Amino acid sequence: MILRALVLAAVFPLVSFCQIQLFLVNASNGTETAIGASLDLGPVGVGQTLATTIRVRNVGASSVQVTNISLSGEYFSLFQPSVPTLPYTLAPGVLNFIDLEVDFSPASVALSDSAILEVNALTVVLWAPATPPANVYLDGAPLAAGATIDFGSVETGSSSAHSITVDDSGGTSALRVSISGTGFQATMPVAADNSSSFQIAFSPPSGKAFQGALTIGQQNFPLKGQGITPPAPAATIVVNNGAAVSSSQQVNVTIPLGAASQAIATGTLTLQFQSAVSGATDDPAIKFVLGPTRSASVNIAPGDTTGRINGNPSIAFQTGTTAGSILLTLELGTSGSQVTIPIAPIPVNIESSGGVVGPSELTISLSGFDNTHSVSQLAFTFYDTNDKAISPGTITFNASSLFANYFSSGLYGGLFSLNAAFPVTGNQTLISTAQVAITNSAGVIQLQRIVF
Amino acid sequence: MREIYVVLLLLLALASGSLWGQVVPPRIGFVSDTAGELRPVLGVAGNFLLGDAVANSVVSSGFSGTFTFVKTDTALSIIDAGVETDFQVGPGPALFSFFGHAGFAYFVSDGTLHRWDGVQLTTVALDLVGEVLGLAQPDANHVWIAVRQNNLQVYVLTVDGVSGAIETSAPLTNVDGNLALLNDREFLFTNGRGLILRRANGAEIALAAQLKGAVSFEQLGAGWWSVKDSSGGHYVFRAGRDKEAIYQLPENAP
Repeated sequence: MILRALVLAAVFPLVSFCQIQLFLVNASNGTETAIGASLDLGPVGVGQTLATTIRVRNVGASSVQVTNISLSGEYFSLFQPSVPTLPYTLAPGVLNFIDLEVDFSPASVALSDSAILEVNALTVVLWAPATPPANVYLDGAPLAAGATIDFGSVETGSSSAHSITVDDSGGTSALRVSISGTGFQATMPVAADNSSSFQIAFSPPSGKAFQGALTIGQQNFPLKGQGITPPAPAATIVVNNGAAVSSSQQVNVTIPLGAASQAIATGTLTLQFQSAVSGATDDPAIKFVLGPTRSASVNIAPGDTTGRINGNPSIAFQTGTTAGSILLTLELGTSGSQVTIPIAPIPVNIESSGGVVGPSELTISLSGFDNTHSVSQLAFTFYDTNDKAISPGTITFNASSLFANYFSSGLYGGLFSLNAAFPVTGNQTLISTAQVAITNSAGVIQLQRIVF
Repeated sequence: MREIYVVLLLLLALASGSLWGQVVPPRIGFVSDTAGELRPVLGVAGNFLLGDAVANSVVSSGFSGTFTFVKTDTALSIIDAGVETDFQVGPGPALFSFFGHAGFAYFVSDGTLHRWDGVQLTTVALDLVGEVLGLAQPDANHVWIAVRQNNLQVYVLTVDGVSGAIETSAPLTNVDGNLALLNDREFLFTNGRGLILRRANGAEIALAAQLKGAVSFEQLGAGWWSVKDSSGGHYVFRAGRDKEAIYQLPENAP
């Protein structure tokens, strides 16, 4: 039995040698050509990679154990698909085979590089001359191996491109091409043939420096570019759609941009008030109606044509009841703008008035505002049911100190509500109406008749 | 001679410069803000200031210009001429109506209607089906109730404020969500076009309020209504011919 085993062991390699056959697979049409003792792969340019598919078949009648697959030789390597785990049982038949991809990537010029491919006891010599590397051109100018391709400064949202031409007339196989790095793209195939042109582009996602690499065969070209955040387009402050503004209004503010923004920008819109009234430094009712009273955030995103104020397309603010100037200041990125809204002094504005005749007194109530804080004279004229002024006619009252004391608190701007009481006796029902005139530094306002 | 008789003391007072006058900030009313605090609203149209809170944990409130309903989750307070009367009640929001010193309160959680006659609060035997949206009063003894019934149609019922009997019913079309029933048969409501004022003659006015989500209404003063949405937006509406306008109520702190 021992002798028989030794005989079998001696014969088995011979059997497998006879059963295994290597074939060169044509990558374009899949046809197979039997390989003899050697295989000429043809010239390959330095820096290029030639991928050759060699198919292992069992041409015998019974299965054979593949116990060894090896490749030796500088610049040669076994590549995808991977070599199967050995030992591997290879059955006969057209459907059974092992594909080996042999890559040849010469790093220097040589008349002939060679390697030995062994499958079990079958040996094939692979050889190929290594030709000079491909020439690479940047925008038509030669690009030295390892040279940096600088895209310069590019605004976010924009792109800068270069043309790459690869002249590999000395090579015979496609060059692997790849690009890496955030912001860098290529309009190219994954491989370049003997003479290829393609575009590489830099589109910075933010305003900082970026680096990458372009690899053509074995040649690496560093890429660099500086992202620049473009300035936000010119922003203006539009108040009340351009209409005039006066006291006691709620008016809208918008921030239209000169053009659709390509930038992301943040800023603030602030409200200030400069009183024109002596002794009145501020008016607490002058404020934005949402968020902090006198400050609002402003944000601009790419594509926006108006700034968003506190997240909205507009914001309203109250103009208060004190004469002066309202200053709106926009600080947006590195730019800004400012508008001054004059609030002109006006005569007293009465929003509601009324009169009540009681058993012993007559009361007149007036609510409104005086944006000059300077009410001085009150004038009352009472009329009877025949619309005849009751003697002695118009009665005036100097209310300067009364109002000055009230306005001095500074809590309510020019808002006021006056209750004036007049003691009366007799038949009050004869009092029909009252005419009231109020004087401030801007003029005299004559109210509509108050009907009792 | 009659004039002298009528205003004798008046003339004497003015001639001596002793006119009694008081100047105070104008008060529009009281409003429950989005934080549940009841605060006075000072100012005039377009220029509002909120005063310090006078009550908190307020669920619903209403102020007619004469007296106030304030409801928390445990009590209903009625404040008239500085006199406060408190009643223990259940939780949940309420709707109010006013006429002079009288009013009605409808508690949403238990569907009960209560009549305030200026002295006492009595429960009205009300039997109706549907979601009550708003109240208003034509007089001291009747209440208008806007109710959305099962077919989603909104009706305005005229209810006897003593017996609870439903005297009339009129449909109200194209109303979504809540509504405010104004005393003079005008309505404030929302639909697909936004916040709408419907006048008594049927004319509708779209008001410039950017409301989001559910909307609630409360009367905050004589002719003034609070309009709050569920996103925290707070507007005030001023009613009255030639005065109708919508404003934003600034709740921000200095």
